[in-house]
Amino acid sequence: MSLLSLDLLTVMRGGCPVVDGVTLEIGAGEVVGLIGPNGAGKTTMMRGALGLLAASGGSSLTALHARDRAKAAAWLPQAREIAWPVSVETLVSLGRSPYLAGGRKLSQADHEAVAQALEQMGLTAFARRDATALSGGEQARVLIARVLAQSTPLIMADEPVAGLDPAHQFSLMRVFSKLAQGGKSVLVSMHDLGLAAQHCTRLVMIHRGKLVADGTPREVLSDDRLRDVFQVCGRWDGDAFHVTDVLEGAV
Amino acid sequence: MAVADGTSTDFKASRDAGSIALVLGLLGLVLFGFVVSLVTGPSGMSVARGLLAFFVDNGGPETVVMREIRLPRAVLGALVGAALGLSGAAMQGLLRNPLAEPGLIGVSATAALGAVIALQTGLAATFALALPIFALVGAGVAVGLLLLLAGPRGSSLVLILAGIAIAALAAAATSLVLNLSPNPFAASEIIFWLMGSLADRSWTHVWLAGPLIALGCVVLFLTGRGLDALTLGEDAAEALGVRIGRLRLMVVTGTALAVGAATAVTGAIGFVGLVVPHILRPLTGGLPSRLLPASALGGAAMVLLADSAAQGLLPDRDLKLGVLTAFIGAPVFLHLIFRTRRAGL
Repeated sequence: MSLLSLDLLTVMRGGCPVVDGVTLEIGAGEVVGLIGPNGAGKTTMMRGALGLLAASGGSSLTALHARDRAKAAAWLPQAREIAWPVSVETLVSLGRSPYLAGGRKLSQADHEAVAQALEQMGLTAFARRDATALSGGEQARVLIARVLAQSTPLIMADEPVAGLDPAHQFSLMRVFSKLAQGGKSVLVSMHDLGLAAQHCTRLVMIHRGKLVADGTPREVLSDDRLRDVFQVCGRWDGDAFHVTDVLEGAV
Repeated sequence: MAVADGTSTDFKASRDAGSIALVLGLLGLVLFGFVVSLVTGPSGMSVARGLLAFFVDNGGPETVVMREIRLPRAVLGALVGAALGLSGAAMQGLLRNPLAEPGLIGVSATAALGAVIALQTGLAATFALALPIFALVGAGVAVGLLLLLAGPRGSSLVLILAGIAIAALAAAATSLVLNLSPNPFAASEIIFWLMGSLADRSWTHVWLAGPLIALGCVVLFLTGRGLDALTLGEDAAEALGVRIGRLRLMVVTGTALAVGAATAVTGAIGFVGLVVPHILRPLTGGLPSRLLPASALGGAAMVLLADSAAQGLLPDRDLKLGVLTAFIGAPVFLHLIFRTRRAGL
């Protein structure tokens, strides 16, 4: 079953394509790592796919009504905004808002989804704390819990591991893997190629707005692509991948 | 897990009980302010005689004073206060900024300009309703300009900039009218009107502004869920199914209706829309949807009590309501500064 299909998705900015004809299909049970250097168009591609900015070409999500789309895909933006001093539990409950038509209050099922999301992110003990008083990494986890509480078949997360400590980076990727085992899928942009290689079932590499590779981590992270796209060299060490050096004159 | 669920439900129950207690407390405060407003006035009636004359028509002037002067004044005070408090809370929620206030979109400034033109041209003297009607037209023009400038997909930043531009232009035009006014009496009348007051308002003013304020408040109350989602930022809220453009339009038109109508009958009463949501936010748990009703009640209570205080403090000097609310507002700002400094920011 396809959870997201992009057909020649193109996003223009000032007459210049930032995302250039990306065609992509995401099925059930995948953790897809979206990789590419800074400015490659990762964020723009995901926002275009969600219909958050004007794009040409097709995306299966933009065809949906706003509320149905919110039940089909959850979005974790890179900017971590918590505007008001609300409790962690209240903030995570906002993930249930697509299910609350016409002023309905949170049901037992909603509360269970929130409690489960808090537990998955190790935040149960924080439930009543003021979310704005937490540290940056803790806030990031609260916002990820909000996305999990939305209980969508597809999660799109923009650099969710940035700012997390190593243990929480690992456990977040494990949460994603578990979701995938349960038939859900995650599209996650990230810069840590080692973490991506270890936890993603599939990598999608974009460079200057174009999709340049799509496959298993071992297929995508080849020497020539690392050189041409990232200007680094790396090494496979069993199942682990390391970036070993930056190429001369690259930066 | 069962224990965790239990505490979570208890927590929710206690939070719900807390917000009900807050709303009931604020309702009590509004009721108190309403009664105080009814028994306050320059006629020198005792409280008991006044209330008796209010409920039992004794055919004398006391009943007329209670029912035709003080009652509309109190009703208008509650309506205007609710409009200001509610639209302040909605505006802060939309812009995700605790310093936002209803005047930010320029509606009160243009409404004031309309009123000033009515006063200056003498139309207000020949036809009593000319002033509020001109003010309403002014508010309407502001919304039209605002939506034209900000566009249907304009961001919140563009909205603020457009609002500031309109407010500045209206303030400049108001100054121009004052500047060129050949008649010092008209000029002082304008200045006093601009300060904002509930004095000498009648049922006509209530019937003129009331329906518009009510309509504006209904529109604003419908924005609660969308404003809650906006806590996470515009991108996340939109991905949660909130249609940001529609939400923005609702907050702007709701505020324009409520505050435009309020300004049209009372002049510009500052600080209520800024201070009331600020005071009540910590008591409501921060979520905009809970803050909206609390701010409406808090605004009504603040304006009713401030109006009575204005009459009580300087009974024979006609202290203007807007002057007093500004004096209340400034210390709250100081409190905000001290709290920010204590937090080490």
